[in-house]
Amino acid sequence: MKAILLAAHAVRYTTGEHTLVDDVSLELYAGEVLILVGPNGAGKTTLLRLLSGELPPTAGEVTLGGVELRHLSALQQARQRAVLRQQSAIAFPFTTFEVALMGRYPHLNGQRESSQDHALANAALEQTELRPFAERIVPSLSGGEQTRVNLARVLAQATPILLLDEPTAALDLRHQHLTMQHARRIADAGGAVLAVVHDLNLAASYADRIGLLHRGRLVLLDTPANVLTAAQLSAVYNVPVVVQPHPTLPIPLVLVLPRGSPSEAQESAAYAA
Amino acid sequence: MSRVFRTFATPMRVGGRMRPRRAFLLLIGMFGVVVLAALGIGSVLIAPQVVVAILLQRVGLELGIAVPPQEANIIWNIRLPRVVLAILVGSGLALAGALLQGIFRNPLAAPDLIGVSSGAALGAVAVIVLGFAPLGLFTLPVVAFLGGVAATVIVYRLAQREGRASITAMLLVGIAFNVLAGAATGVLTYLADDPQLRSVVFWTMGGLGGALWTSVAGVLPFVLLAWLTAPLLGRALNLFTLGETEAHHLGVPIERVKQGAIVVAALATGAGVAFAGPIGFIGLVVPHLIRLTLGPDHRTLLPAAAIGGAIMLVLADLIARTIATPAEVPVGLITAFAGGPFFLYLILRTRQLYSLS
Repeated sequence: MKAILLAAHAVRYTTGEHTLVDDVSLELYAGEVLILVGPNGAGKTTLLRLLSGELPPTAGEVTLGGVELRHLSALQQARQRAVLRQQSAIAFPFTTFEVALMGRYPHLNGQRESSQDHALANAALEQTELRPFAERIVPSLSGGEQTRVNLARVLAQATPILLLDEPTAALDLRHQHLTMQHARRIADAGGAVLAVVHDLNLAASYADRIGLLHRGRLVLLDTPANVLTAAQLSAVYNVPVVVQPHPTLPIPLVLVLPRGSPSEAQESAAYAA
Repeated sequence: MSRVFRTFATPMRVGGRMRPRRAFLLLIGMFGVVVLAALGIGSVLIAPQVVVAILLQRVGLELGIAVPPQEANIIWNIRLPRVVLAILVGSGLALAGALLQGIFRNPLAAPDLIGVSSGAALGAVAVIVLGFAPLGLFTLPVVAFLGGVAATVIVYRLAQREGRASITAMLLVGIAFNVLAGAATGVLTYLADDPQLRSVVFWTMGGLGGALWTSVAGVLPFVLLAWLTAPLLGRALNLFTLGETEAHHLGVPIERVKQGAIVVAALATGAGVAFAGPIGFIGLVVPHLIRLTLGPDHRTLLPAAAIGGAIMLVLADLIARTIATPAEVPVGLITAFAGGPFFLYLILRTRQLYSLS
């Protein structure tokens, strides 16, 4: 039995009369990459914010290493888990290296950054292919590059648990896969990664388990093959979807049919029947 | 065409940043020069070496330079308290500005935003117009100080929800409070008679004319507190740059940092305004200027702003009392006249960086 690093127990989050996350329970095990998918407004980001301690749940509880989040200080949490948020703009002209080095803050104990901290920040820049940008001013970088700078900061934090909200949304193909490979590597080294990803095929390629969220509820949490089925996806996303075996890998391949195509008519007829 | 844009763009690399050691040496050098100039220049000109001799004589060091007692008297009783007050007030204002820009994550934040200045102005004008003075001459600075600090407490409280202070809410509450306090100050000004009106107008423009050693003693503890506390906040403020939530995720106790920065900024600004009136632009321009030359790291920005603010106010006050001798121009006019165009220049130069284009 693998260790549970992070868990949500029947968490609910309500603002006004809207329930954004409804009775979600999940466990993040050591060694796994868990990817949350679902349509816009399904509650993925809210769930991630509950898991990261940014929002207190209206009901239920979140535990980190077995301890309820509200009993842990920000620093204690930061030593165990790093968070990459969806939108994050830097206010002042820090350089790429300086931002990566900020990831070392929870480990400094008020001391100056050591040569080891510098080495870890540099390694994180290496991993995100940002070494040539080390002395560049972050606000002068492109959106995708800025996402990578924040990813470098998260990697430099060197925590066993990573919570990533759409880490690949602004990235090109190469860096989408590099990012997911870092997630895979951290999980293989005994850590755990929970990420929100929109690209279902990217999710299928790297996830051990996929959680499908719909209207605030976790409707499915299982292996990619069991979650990414045409019936499930068509119903939740409300678009005609076909799922085929991947030509070279043992994973499903999700394709969306364009509106009005003959195969769409066939599919929807089959779906209706 | 692209060349035109490039001249307007910010430097992409950090080549333009000055090394901290060099910058601090330069700042300390400038500080020394400005202080010597301010002590030496006036209706009686005193040579720099004589100024140094007078200062060292007090601590028991004889330089072998003849020191006329009258000049020693001018330095000790007139010019030095004024220069020291300028150092403390300028330093406190610039430090407060740097702290607030850090927690607001906005280079345009200034001590005025959290209501300190308008609260202090309301207190000061109330004392002038209503004419109550249970503490004698010290009534005005004490009431102004309390007004400034009370204003910040009110703004902070109103912006709080569920134990968290929203920075945006603080900004909006601060604006609303400034309008209200301004209106109340306006009513009092309207009620004032002619001599009171004159006092109100002069106080509002700021000045260090009334500087005494007792005013120095009044400001010192609060600016000292800012000097001692600010270094503890530097690293946390760097992480605030990434966003409040990001700072929290990196382990920063964000509510404590915000409270600390706001309390320190309010006390330093309140004490400064109480004894020197509202002096604009130092809290805004100095941190900005330091950031442009030294980079945004608060661990160097905060101490550099503290020195830079002192330099700027000592210099502005020197200009204020010498530009139209024997008359004295309110120092607030000097900082505004110099600060305004300079700030405009900075904004135009860095507009891309703050996406104002």
